[in-house]
Amino acid sequence: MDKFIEKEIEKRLKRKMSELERHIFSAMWSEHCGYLHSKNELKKFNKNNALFPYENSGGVKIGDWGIFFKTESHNHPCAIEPYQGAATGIGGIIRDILALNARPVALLNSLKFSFSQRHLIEGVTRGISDYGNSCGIADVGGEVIFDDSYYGVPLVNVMALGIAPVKKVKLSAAKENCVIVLLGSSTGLDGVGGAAFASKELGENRSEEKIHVQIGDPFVKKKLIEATLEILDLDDVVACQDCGAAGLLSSTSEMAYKGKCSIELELDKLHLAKKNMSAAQILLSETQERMVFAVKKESVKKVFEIADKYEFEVSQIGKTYLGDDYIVKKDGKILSKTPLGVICNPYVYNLYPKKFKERPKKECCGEFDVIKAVNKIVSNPEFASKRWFYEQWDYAVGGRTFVPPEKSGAAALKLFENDCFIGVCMDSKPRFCALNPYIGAKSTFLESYRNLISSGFEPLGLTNCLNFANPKDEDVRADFVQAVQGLADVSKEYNLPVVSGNVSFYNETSTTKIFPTVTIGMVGYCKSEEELIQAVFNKDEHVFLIGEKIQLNSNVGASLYQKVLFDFIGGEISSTDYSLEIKLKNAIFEMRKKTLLSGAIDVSKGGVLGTLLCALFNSDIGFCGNLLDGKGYSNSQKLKLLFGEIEGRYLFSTKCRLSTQEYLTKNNIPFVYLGICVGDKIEFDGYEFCLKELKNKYFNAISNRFD
Amino acid sequence: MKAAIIVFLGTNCEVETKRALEFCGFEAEYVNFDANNLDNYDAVFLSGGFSYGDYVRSGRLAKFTPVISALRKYIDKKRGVTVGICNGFQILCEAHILKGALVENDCSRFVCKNVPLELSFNGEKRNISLPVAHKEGKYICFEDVNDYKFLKYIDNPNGSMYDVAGLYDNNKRVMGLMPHPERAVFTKNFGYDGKEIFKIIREEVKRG
Repeated sequence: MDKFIEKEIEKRLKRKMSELERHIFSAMWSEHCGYLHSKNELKKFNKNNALFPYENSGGVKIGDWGIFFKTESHNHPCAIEPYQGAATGIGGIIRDILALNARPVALLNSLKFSFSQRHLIEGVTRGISDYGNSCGIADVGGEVIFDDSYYGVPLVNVMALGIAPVKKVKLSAAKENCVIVLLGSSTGLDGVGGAAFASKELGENRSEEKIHVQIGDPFVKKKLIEATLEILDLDDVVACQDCGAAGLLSSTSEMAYKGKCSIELELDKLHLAKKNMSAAQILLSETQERMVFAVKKESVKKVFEIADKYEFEVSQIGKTYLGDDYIVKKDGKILSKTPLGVICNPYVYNLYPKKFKERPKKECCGEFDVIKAVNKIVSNPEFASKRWFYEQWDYAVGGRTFVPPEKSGAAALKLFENDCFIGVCMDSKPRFCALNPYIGAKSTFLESYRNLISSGFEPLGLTNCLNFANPKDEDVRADFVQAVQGLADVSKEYNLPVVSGNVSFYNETSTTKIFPTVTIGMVGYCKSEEELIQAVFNKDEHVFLIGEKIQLNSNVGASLYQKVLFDFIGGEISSTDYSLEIKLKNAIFEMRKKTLLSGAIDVSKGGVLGTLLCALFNSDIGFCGNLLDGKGYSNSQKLKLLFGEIEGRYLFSTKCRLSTQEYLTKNNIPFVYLGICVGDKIEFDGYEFCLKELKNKYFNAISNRFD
Repeated sequence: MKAAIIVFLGTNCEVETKRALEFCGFEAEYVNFDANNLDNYDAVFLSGGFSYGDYVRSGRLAKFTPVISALRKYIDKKRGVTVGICNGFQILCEAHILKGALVENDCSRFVCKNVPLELSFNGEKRNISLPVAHKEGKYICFEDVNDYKFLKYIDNPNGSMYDVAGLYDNNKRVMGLMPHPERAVFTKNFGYDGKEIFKIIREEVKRG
C-alpha cells in the first residue's frame, strides 16, 4: 500500500489499521474499486435523462421499460489467462445488469490486440464463445482493432444490455433490519486480491499472476440469472449487489453505505469451497456467480426456496441495523469494526495535469499505387470483415436479433415487450485519441452516433470504458483529462446522458504502453422494422455521399490507410460540426420516411472508398461511378481523397436518383453523386477491380491467418 | 394443437421457440424437467441451449431427468410428435431415441450462421436456409441413415456424415435437427424458412 494512502486512511480512522483492515482498504481503495484517479473527472459527464446513473448500471427509458447497459474491462486478466479472463469479463458485466432486476439480452465486445498474438486472440474469442453462448445471451456486435500498442496488454471491453420494467427495478441501497443473503457458488480462493491486481502494471513473471484470475461457469451463471430475477421479483427483497471486484467486501459495504446503515457479517455462516479460509480471503475472494441480497426477515424463507429450485447453495450471512459501521465477525468474535464512511469514500486525486503532450503535426505524404493500396487495405485485418470472430459467437440466441453483425452500423434488437427496436453499437478510435485525446473522444462518440443514425436509430444514451496506462505518469493524466473533457463536452452538446462507465488504468508493461483508448457503447430507439436501415446497397441503386466534402487540405491524421500503407500515425485531426451532424441526421430520417433512402452507412474506416466497398460486399454487387472529381491528382493526393477519414459523412443508396437530388438540393444538404450499383466489377475514375476477388480478400483475411 | 417446450436447467432457446410456435399456430407452454407426464401434448419440443452446461458431453446429463422417462412413454404410446432442436437433438441422440451421435465440429469452433439446406418431405425436395449455432453438431452414425434424413446440408458446416442436418426415427414420430427453425420466422435477415419446418411438424402431428 502506498505510504501516502496509508497515512490518509489512518488519519481518517484516527487510529492504526488492523491487519484485516489493511486487506479491506487495499481492495476498497484500489483504483479498480475506488476510482481514485478518475472520480473527480467523471463528474463532468452529462447525466440528464439517465435512469439510475449511480447504480450498478444506469440506463435509458423506452416507454415503461428501462434499458440498462454498461461496459467493463477485463484487460489484465486476459493478458494472463485469455480464455478465463474473457469469460469472467462477460460474467461480471452480466451481473451488473442483473443486479437491477433487468434481464440481460445482449452482449457486445470491443477487443484490441496485437495481430501477432494469436494465442490471445484465439483464447479471448473462445472464452467469449463458450461463456456467452452458453448463458444464452446474444453477442450482437462490437469491434476488433489490431495495433502493436496492445502487445503488452490486450484490451477486452465488454458491454451488456438488459431490460426491465422501470417499476420493477431494484436498487443497491440496503435498509436497516434486513438479513443479508449470499446466493450462488461456494466462496473459494479464486481471484483473491483481483481488484488490487488490476490496479497495477503487469509484471514479467505472468505465471505468478494466475492466482488473481477468476474462473467462470456459464451454466451456473444461466441458473443464477433465472434465480436472481425470480428472487428480485419478491417485494421484500430490498436491495441487491453482485459480487464482482473485491467480492463480498465491496458488495456488502457499498450496500450498507448507500443505505446509511451498519452491516454485520458472520463469516462462519458462508458456504465455502475450501476449509480454513482466513477472514481476508473470504472477504476478498472473487469467486464468480454470486449475488448478495438484503431481504426483510419474513421473506428469507422464500429466497431459500427459490435457491433450492435452481439447485443453488445459499447462506444467511449477516444483518443490517442502525449505525454506520462495517463489522466483520468470525468464530463469535468481532474481527473488525470500521466506519463505512472511510471504507467507501476513498481518497480522490485531483489530476491537474501540468502540461499537455505536444503531438507530431507532420502530415503523411507517401506515394503508393492506388490499385495495390486497395488490395492491401481490404485484406488488412483491421479493415477486413470480422466474420471469423462473430461466427463463433451466438448472435441470434433469444430471438431478438433482427440484423446480423456487420449488416448495419448498429445491432438491432426487438423489444417485443414494447413493440419497438433497440439499437446498440460499441466503438473506439484509439489512433485518433492518441493524436488528440480531446477531439479523439468526441470523434469516437460521433462514430457511435452515426452508426446508430445510419441504422435508423435515434440515439438515447451512452456508456464508456476508458482504458489508459499508468495514471501516475503525467502524460497519461493529461490524456485522460482531455479525453474525459471531450466526452463530457460532446455528450452535453448532443444532450445524451452518460448512463454508466468503467475506467481501466495501468494498461502497460515495462516496455509497452497502450494508446489512450476511449470505448463508447451507445443505445438508440427505432419504432418499427420498416424503419431499420442496413448498410447494404442493392443492384441498380444510386449511391450518394452527404456531408463534409474531403479536400486536399482536409486533416486526415490517424486514418487507417496511413497506418496500413506507410506505418504512419500522425498529422492532425479536425473537430466536428454539430449543426451539420444534426442536419445529416434529419435528412437521413426524412429520406427514409419518404422511402427515398434504401441503404446507408456512415463513412469511417477506409474513407469513402473503404466504406463504399463494405456496403457493396454486404450485398454482392459491383459499382460504376466517380469518387474523385477528375483532376490530375498525384497518387498520394488520390489516397487522401479516397481513404482519408474526416467527420460528418454518410453514404446512402436510393432507387430514385432525381427526386433524391431534388430533396438534397432543396434542403441545402451538401452532397456528391457517386455512381450506380451494377455488374460484378468495381469501377471508378479509370480504375477497375473484380468484385469477387476483393470480396474474398475482405472476408477471408483473418480466417486465412487463423484457420 | 398443443405443444410442450421442455425446460432443463441450462436450456436457453425456450422463449423464442415458444414465440415462434405460437406464431405458427401452436398453443405452447413450458414444461419443467421434473415433469413425469406429457400425455396432454400433441407435440413435445426439446429446445436449444446448454442443458446442464453440456457437462460430460452435449445433452448427456439431461437424459437422466424424469421428463425424459416420461418422453420415452410418450413415444412408445405414439401419443404425438417429438422434436429436438440443437441441444434437443443432442439429448435425443444421447438418450438413444434417435440413432447416432453429435460430436464436435470439424473446425472445433462454434459456428453461428445461416446455411443452405435441402428439405425432403413427402417425396418432395426443396432448398431452404436456416441458422445454425452449435459447436457439437457433427452427426456421426455407423449405419446408413439416408432413409431417415429429412434435412441435409448443401454446404456442410461441421463435417456431419451423410450431410445430416435433421433426422427422423423409425416411426417418423421423432425428429431431431441442428438448425434453429425458431430463429427464421420473424425477419428477412434470417429468412422465413423456419415456418416450413413448423408446417411439416403440424402435418406430422395431424397424420397421427
